Amino acid sequence: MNHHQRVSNDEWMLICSFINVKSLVNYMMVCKEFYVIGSSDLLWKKHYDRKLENYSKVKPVLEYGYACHYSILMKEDPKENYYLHYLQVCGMELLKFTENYEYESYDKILQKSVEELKCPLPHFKVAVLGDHHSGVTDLLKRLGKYNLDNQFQYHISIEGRKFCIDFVDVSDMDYERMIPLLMFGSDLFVATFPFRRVYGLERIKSKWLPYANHYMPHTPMLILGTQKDLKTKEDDVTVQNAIKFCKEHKCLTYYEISSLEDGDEIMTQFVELCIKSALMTHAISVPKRKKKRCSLQ
Amino acid sequence: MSETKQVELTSKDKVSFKVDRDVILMSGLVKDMLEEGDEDETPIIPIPNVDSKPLQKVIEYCQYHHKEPAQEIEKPLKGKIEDVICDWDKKFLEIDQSLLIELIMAANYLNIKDLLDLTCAKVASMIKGKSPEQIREMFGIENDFTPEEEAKIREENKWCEEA
Repeated sequence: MNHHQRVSNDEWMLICSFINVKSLVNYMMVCKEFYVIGSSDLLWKKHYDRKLENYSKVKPVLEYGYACHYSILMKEDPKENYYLHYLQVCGMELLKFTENYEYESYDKILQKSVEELKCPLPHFKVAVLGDHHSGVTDLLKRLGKYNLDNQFQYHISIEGRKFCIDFVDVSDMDYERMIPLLMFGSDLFVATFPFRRVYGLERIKSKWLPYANHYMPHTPMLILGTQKDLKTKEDDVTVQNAIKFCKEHKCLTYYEISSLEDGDEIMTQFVELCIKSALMTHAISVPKRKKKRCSLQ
Repeated sequence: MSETKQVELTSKDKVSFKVDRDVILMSGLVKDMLEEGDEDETPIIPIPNVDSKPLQKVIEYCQYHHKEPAQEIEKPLKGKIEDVICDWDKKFLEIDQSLLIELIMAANYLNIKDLLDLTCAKVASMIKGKSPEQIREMFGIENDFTPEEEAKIREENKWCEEA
């Protein structure tokens, strides 16, 4: 009996408005026509709104005085594609608290081959965190072509595979509340501190780690010392205590760079490090997600 | 006023039903038509999209509910539909699937919101908790996704959790 062909889309829509998310997702997988009906904004807006409402109840009051990413979403209604936004929020929830990265020295990471890391992602987003005049923009200018909206694109080929990285410059922000938006969707954070400045690693601890842990705790972080050419023996930050800092705060690795003195080789190495770190954590996070899935069923 | 005014409805298969005017005013369509038309003794209203069997059920529903408006059904349904509707509605819904589908279309055509809600919620309750394969089987639908497309959708909603 081919009933569904006589039931109009409006009627299906009404039927769908009575079912919960799980069933709706199953419904969408029946056929193409149902997928179109089922992914309609009319249906998902309600689910999406409720999701965020529940989320804001769970989420503790903001500690750092900037708007939480979710509340930004809440205030600025996406207006369309609620289905995709819903999936996004679900994804973010699942990835919470998976920041169990072990420190690995950068040369160890670089030794890994792309094949070994088993993740065919060709495109990355890397947010470079730092303060004004901490050398971030200079570094990125050396690395890539200025794209738009503080983005620098870099193309690289490693082991015969082509990769493209978007470096996002977060240091040049006039508005604090823009920062989470720029950070959003990153595969990797690079937290920078310049040598010869009083704040050094403390600044990363007090500003960037809270940001990262608050919005995207699942995204791995590298610590990068910039303006290495200014480094002296009296400098507070030694490689040892930077590594110690990484271990304490679950950062992946530590690297030093000078955009003034270092040649292209070092720059390439740095980009390769970024890619491999991002790949590595993708490899880490996948089995974790699966585990979570099982416990929920 | 004399006795209650009546209206005659004619179904697609040319069966006539005499119904009290008050009763059939639940239908938005009939209401509009009656307001437009002249005040005949017993106006005849053709319902060309609906067969006699579902129409009979519709009238049955209206006769019961025009005095006792149905309670609104929650969206989305939390449990089974049987938990939220009255006993009369439960009995009313003891029908086979093809009649249920015809009822949905009749309710939509005749613009009877409560009946449409009730029947749609019933179908929703049938779909609930079913796998895509079971839904396909239930409504005789062909799967027109390619395996790749299906895998892609499965991947995208893999982590989808209840709100």
